[in-house]
Amino acid sequence: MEQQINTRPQGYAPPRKSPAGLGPRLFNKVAREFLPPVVVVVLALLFWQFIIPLGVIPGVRAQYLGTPAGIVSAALELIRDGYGGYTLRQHVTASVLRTAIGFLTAALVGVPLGIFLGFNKRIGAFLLPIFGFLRPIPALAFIPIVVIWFGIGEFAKIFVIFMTAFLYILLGAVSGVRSVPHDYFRLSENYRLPAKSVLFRVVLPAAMPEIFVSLRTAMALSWAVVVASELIAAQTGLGYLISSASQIYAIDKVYVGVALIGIIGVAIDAVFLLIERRLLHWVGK
Amino acid sequence: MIASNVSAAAATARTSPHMVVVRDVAKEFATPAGVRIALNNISLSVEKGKTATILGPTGCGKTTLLNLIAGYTTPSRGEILVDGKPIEKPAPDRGFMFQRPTLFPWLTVLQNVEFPCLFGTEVGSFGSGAQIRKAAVGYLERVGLADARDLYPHQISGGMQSRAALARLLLAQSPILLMDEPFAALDAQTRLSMQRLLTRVVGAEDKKTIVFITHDVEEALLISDDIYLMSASPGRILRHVEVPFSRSSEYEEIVSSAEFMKLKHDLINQLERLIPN
Repeated sequence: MEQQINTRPQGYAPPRKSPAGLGPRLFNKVAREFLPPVVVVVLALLFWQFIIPLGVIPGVRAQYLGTPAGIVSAALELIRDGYGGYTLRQHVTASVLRTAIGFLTAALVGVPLGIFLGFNKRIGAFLLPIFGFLRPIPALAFIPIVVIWFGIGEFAKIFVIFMTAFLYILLGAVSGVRSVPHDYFRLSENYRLPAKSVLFRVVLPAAMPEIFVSLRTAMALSWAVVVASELIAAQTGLGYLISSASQIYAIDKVYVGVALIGIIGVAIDAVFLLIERRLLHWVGK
Repeated sequence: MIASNVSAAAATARTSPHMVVVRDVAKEFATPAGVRIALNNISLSVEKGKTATILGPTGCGKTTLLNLIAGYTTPSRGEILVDGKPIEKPAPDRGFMFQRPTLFPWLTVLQNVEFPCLFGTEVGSFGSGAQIRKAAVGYLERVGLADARDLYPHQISGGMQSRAALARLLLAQSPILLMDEPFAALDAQTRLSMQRLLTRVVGAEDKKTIVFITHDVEEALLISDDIYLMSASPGRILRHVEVPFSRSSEYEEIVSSAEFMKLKHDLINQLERLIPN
């Protein structure tokens, strides 16, 4: 054994591959990296569950804060019984559907129109300042106007999502087209590419990375806006759920709704990232 | 009498061995400060199968001249004939190589090389996609990129990107090649190997006529038959040099010859005097 060690070149240690060696190392890694935050979270939950309800912390009204156990039972109750006459799945579906319809319509109109306006500088000069003015206005400011125009039905909610997403996507497509390198057009001219090929084989792929960023942002905004529009007037949707639950001080249900909104938002973004990585494999390299 | 003169001139133009003729060309740009004369009184001609280099300091308008020959812009005065006919717009008979490789990042090297032939109008004389593929692979081999055909541009070096751009240019089978400082951004070693590749690969082709832009005297001497030295503001041609070396000779042999060194120093001195202090 000693001999073996001595024959090794100095300063060289072979990588340990045996499971016996891996076990403690993996444990060390877990202990070092994951244990501290878990401990913090567990302590905080215990504090929340057992200390706060005692009412010993000045300025904190325990009844408005809920408890971790309450949240779990609220989640189970929502899954079992639903809320306001609709199942939890129906609420989620309502929100997702509104977002999807508003967003997809915005993408279908915004991307082609943005490409057209990016190309056609003259018409773009007429229309783009208007869209540029509208874009920074928060969608929430449109809601009262839209309610006056279209009432409080489905259309009003989808329209607000459409407006928000459309303005972002449109201006993203315009700037995507304008950022296409000039030499791409010169190359196309050199070999006399038909206009259709220039559009679909050069401009669209070249502008795609920027268009995709605007689609992702627009999607995130749409999801935020759907919740906001449901706060105002709706009988379904996650926005309705949290606003209605808060009015009856069902704080644990509000938490569940908010967490669900967050989880779905992250999931949607993950799907977009996945598509982006597959579709635009060259970006950022 | 006048009429017969004109037709005689037209006849000479048609039968002229000159592939590219630039006659009394001027180019002016309107700027807020007034009209700026970018090019004045430019005349030059390039014989079929020859390489002419336009050598000049930065900002002398050499790229403008190349853009005029390519048809990307039109001259304010004068005319440009290609194969005896006035040029109108950019066309595949004049293949352009840009300062940067200009490869599409979403296509592989091979797809980039095939792109003009597959999607352009009357580019090359291939009967089918399979023929294009075969020829493209052949050119990739000739420029030393056979192993890189399925890689994306971001996965290969700048020199390899230039090689791919050269393969794309050659596959399009343009009789005239317009090259706008295509190797200027490369490091010295890579630039040298690209220059040798250009003379070797293009030499194997059927009589390419090349107009090459550079500010590098040695590059001009190594790759061309004729050098036109340009000065700036307004751009005009100061001097025409017929390069006396045979490009089939060895590189080391050329650069170490007394004649090469004398011409090189001569041109460098003249160029330096053109650059305003």
